[in-house]
Amino acid sequence: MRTSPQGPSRRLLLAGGLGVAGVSLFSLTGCQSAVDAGAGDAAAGPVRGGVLNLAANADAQPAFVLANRAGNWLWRRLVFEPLAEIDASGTPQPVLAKSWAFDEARTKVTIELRDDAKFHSGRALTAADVKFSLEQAAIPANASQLAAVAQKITRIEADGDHRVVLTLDRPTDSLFDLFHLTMIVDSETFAGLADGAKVVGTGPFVWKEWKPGASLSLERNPSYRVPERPYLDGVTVSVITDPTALQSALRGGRVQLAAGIGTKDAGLLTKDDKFSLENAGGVFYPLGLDVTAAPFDKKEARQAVAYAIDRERIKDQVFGGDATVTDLWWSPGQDGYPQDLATKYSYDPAKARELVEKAGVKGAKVPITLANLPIPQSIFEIVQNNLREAGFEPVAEVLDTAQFDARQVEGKLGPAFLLLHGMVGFSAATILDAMPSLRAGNPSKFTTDEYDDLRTAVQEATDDTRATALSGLSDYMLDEAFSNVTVVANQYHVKARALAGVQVVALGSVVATDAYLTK
Amino acid sequence: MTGHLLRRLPSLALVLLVSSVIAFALPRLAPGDPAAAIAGADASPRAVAEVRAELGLDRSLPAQYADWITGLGSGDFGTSFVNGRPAAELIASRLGSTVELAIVAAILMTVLGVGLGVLGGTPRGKVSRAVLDLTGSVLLAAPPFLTGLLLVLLLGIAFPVLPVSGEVSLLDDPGIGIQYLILPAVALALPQAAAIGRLVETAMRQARQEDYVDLAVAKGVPPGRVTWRHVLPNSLGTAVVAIGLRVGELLAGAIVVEAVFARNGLGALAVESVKNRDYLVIQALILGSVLVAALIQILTELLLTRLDPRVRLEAR
Repeated sequence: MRTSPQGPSRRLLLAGGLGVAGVSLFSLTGCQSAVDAGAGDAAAGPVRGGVLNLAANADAQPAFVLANRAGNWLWRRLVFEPLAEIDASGTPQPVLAKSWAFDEARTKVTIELRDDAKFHSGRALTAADVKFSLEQAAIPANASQLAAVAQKITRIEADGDHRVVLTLDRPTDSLFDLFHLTMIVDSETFAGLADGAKVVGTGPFVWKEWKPGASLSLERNPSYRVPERPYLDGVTVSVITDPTALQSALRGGRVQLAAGIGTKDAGLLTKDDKFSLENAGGVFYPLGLDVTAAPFDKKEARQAVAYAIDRERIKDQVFGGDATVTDLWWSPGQDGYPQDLATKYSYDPAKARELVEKAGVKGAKVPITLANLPIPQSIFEIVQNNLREAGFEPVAEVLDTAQFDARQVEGKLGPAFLLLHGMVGFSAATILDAMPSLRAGNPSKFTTDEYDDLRTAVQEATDDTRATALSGLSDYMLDEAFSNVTVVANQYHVKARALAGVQVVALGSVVATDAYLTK
Repeated sequence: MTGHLLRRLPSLALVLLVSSVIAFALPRLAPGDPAAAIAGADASPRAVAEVRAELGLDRSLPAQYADWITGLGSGDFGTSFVNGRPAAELIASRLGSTVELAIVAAILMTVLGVGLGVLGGTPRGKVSRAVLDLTGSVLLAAPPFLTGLLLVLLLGIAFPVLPVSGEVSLLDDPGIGIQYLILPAVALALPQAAAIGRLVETAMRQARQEDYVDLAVAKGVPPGRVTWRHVLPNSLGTAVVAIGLRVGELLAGAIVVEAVFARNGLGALAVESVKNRDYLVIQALILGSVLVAALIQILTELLLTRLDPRVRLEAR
C-alpha cells in the first residue's frame, strides 16, 4: 500500500536551513566581542588579582607528580613544594626545609622542617609526609627520574613532627637534586593523584578542576604561609599540542606564558618586544652506539663517528645557533666541568676516514634509529651526511614516539640511535644515575669495571675531589665513545611582557608565588 | 518507519560486533607499548613492567577483550591508561565541542553548498559563470588546515576581529561561543560546501531538461519561481545523500581544524590517545564513530523519503 510521507515539507526544510544560518549570523553581530574579552584588564604594578593564563603542549600528569614531566612544568610547583630548590647559581635554597646538616662521613643528613607549612586540606605538614614522599620517589612505578638516588637512602626517620633524618650507606652528590625534584605530597590523599581527583599540596595555588587533555584551573590558596601571596586569584593551564596554535594563543593574547615552543620559533617570537624568553633548562642530543654489535664493537669505529659529527653545523642549522657545542654529558654550568675536554672530537672528516679504515669497517651499513620528531630528524640529516663522508652507509629507521620509547626501554634500538634527554640542570652525579644513555643498563650496552669505579668516584666526590673525578670519568668516556653528544640545546618558556615576577626554576618548573599581571 | 527501523536493528548489531573486534585489534597492531608511553622513555624496564601489570596489560588478549565487552554491556567503556579517568567521561567532556563545531560547520556547508549550487545551476552570463567555476575550484582545492591557517593569520593576528584560539561552549555563552566557532567552522565547511555546490549544480542542470520545467516556462512562470518551486526541490535528493556522507568527513576534518584553532574536541582526544597508545579510549572512539556513521546513514534514508515521494523505505 502506498503511504504518504509525514513530517516537514520540502519548503519547510529549505526555510529552516536558511533560518538557522540567519540566527547564527545575528548572534555573531549582536553580541560582545570575544577578542575584546580575551584581551584582559591587567593592572600596572604588583597588585593582587587577575587570572594568569598559561599554555603547554602536553597535558598534566598528576599521577607522576614525583617525576619531571613537560606536562607538569606549569602547575607542579604551584600546587606542591619541595624540601629545597636549586637556584640559578646551582646553590640549594630551603623551601619546606628550614635547614640541613650532614655528619662528617656525609652519610647522615638531618633536615629541620618549617613549622608553618600546611596542606590545602588544612592539615599541618609533618616529617611523616616527607618520609612518605621520599619513599614514594624510590618506587619505580612512580617514574621519578631520581628513583635510583632515592633508593640510596637506606633509612628515613621522622624524629618528631619537624625533623627528618636520612641515612645512606655511602655519600652521594645527588641529594639536593632529589630534594629539588621531589615534591612533598600529602600521604593521606596520595591515592587521589592517580586520576587527579585529589591533588593536595602545600603550594600557593589549590588544584580546582582538571579536564584531561584540555585544561587545568588552579585558584589562590588563601591560607598560604607567605603574607599577601600569591598576588594572582588563579591560574589556568590550557593544553595546546599544535605548535602553530600554541604560538597563535600567545600572539592572540589568550595566554601570557607558553611552554613547548621550539627553540627557533621562540627566537622568532622575541623579535616582537611583547615577548621574552625564560630559561627552562635544556636537552642533550646524543648519538648512541651499541658496543656489542658490528661495526661499533670496535672502539676505532666509535671514535670515527665522534670525529665525523659536524656539531657546529647542527648548532647553526637545527638550533639557529642557540645551542652549546660539547662532547660532554654534563650540564655546562656543572661545578668542575672539564672545559678542556669539551671539544676533544672537533669535526675532522679526514681523521674519521682514517679510523674507519683502521677499524676495517669501510662501507658498513649503519641503521640509525630515531623518533619521528622534528629535531631528531633534522639532526639525522646532518649526521647521515657526516657518516657517509667518513665511509659508513647510514640509513634511517624512523619510529613513532611510542614505538621508539618502547624500544629504548627494551634496549633494542639497534647499532646507532639518536636520543634526547632533558636533563640540563641535574648534577653530573645525578645524570650518571638518571640519564638512560649513561646509567647501568644503557642502550649502548656499555659496562666495564673501570666505568663503574669512575662513576662511583664522581658520585661520592667532595668539593675538593669533584673536578678530578669528573675529568677522569669524562676522559675515559670520550675514549670509549659509546655515546656521542651532538649538542646541548637550550629550552625556553616564552613569556608575554604583561606577566611579571614569574620564576622558572632548574628543569623547567614555573613558580608564580610572586607573579602578577601588568600592562 | 518504525518497521523499517526495527528491520535495521540486527544489521546494526552485527556491524557493532564486528567493529568491536576491529576496534580492539587495531590499536594493538600498532607497534609501541602503552606502559612505556606512560612510564616515559627514561623509565627502567622494571618500572615499565610494574606499570604494565598495574594496567592489566600482562593478561592474555582474549581476557582483555572479554573484560572490555562485558564492561560495555554494563555501560563501562573502560578507564584511560593515561589519566585514570573513565573513557566515557573523557569522550562526554569533549563531545560538546566537536558536536557544536560539526553542527555549525554542517549548517554553513549546507547553506553555502546549496547557495553555490543554485547560483551555478541557474542560467548566467559567461563572466559570472567563470567566476563561479573558479570560486568552486579554489574552495574544493583548499584543505581545511590551509584555510584555517589563513583565517588565523588574517582575522586573528593581522586584523584581530575574531578569536583564533580556544573555545567557549554555546550553552555557557552563545554570543561568545559562536565567535569562537565561526572561523573553525568556515575552514571546515568551505571545501565540503564547494563539493555539494557542484552536485546541486549538476542536478539542477539535469532537472532543467525535464518536461515539467518546459511546461512551467511555456505557461509563463517567472524564472525565479521555476528555480525555487520546480528545479531546486527536485534536485535536492542528491544533495541530501551527499550532505549525509559529508557530515562524516566534517568529523574527520575536525581533527585538523581543532588542532589549528586549539579546540579540545574529540579529534584532539583521538590524536592524543593514539599517540599515547591509550587503547580503551581509542576503542571507545572507534566504536562510537561507527555507531554515529550508521545512525547518520539511517537518518539520511529517512530524510530522503521526505524530499522525494518516489522513494519508499519499504523498497530499500
